[in-house]
Amino acid sequence: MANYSIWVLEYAYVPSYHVSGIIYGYHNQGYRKLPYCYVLIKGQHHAAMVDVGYNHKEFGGYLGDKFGVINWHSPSEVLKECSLRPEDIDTVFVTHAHFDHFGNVDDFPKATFYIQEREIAKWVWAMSLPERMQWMMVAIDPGDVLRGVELAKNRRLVTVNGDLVNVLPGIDLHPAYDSHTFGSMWVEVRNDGKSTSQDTWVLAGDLIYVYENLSGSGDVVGVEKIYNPVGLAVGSQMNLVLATEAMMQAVNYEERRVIPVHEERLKEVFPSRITKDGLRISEICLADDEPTLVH
Amino acid sequence: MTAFSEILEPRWDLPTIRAGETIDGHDAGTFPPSDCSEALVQYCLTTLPAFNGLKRLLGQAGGIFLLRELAISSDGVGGDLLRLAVDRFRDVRDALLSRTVPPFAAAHAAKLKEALALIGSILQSLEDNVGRSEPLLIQLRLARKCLIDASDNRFGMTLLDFRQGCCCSHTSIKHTPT
Repeated sequence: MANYSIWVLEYAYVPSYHVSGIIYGYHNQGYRKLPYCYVLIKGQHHAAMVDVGYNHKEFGGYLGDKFGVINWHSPSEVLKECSLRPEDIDTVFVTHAHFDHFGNVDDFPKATFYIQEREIAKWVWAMSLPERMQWMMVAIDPGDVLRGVELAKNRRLVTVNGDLVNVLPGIDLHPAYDSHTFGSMWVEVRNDGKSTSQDTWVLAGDLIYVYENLSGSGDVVGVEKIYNPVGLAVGSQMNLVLATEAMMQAVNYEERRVIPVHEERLKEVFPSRITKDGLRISEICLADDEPTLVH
Repeated sequence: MTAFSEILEPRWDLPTIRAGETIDGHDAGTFPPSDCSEALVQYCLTTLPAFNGLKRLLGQAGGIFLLRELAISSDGVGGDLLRLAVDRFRDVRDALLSRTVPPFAAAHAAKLKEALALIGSILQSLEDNVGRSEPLLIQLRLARKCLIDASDNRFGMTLLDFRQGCCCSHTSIKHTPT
């Protein structure tokens, strides 16, 4: 029995992203494609998203011209491939407050957004620091604070303080404090609904970019494989490794069940197809009676 | 200790801004893309710190407002957030009002002053703890619009610096005016 279907939906990509930004310590190892994606979770009479992408309307031209992000498509276009509209999304789990994950809330007018309280609180604190300390504000758009205010005012922003079990039936939220960001969060889907599930999927946000973060070369410490954290940690790489262990523990160390949304090779692990817009849909799992979207 | 209102009020000689209103004669804050004169470069480079200050103030004011809306205590956040915002406001205000603006940049400077006035008004409301949320939200939107209008990527005047972003390609800005 599977309660939820899960798809990773690409909405834009960077053709050439430096590998050293993806995997800590992987210097001078060239570039690779970095897809920008969000996740659709559908089932139990809910349509939920993990993150919502960035706001192309305001920054798309700048990104495209200066930083090589191309082929952006709106949630309307992307979700249409799943026979959904943005208005159908009732729940959004925001893994962290970077612009490419939290920047497009406007396109989801009926969703309730969940984010870790610490992500918001420390975000506000960091903005008050002197300019010389503004590295902590990387990838933060002050405008997203305003979007947060609008959501809060409309009672559509829920802050979570730590773990939250069954935010939707069988779906749990877990914090990874001071890791990639101040209050990053990962999403656990217990797809059989059991408290001790044998069918768990983890949506990792940016705690894991690619498979090497889960299983990288251990040459540096003389072992075969190690968790090799992502390049960017506002907190610490140590906390990223601890978060990786927690995620792997949740899936009983079955690596393929931790889903890295920036991983292009998802298409080699899960059934996938490329849409007419040149974007990938990867089908992670299907709920009972849910038709496939990738054939 | 000086009250915030005393910090904000005495040198408050900016025009009053109402929702949806722009300062007369200054409805555009951008420069022609073809303009790369030395005077423009000089103006933008000296204005960049104030722009960045306003950008951060916008986030600070919005952030304090957000914490209040969410009923999150700022006790454990670190520092007196409103005090820090007012201190920065004072610095930015002094920097903006004390400089001579060349005529060609009058519209741009007016946009920044408009943003400053709006943010000052928001901070005042937050300090007084009297503002209703809807007008505050409108002021925040307007202030952000002013800063977007006054953005110029060529000189790093943007609300969001993607160069350090986790998911940007870390390509340096290579604009070459023609």
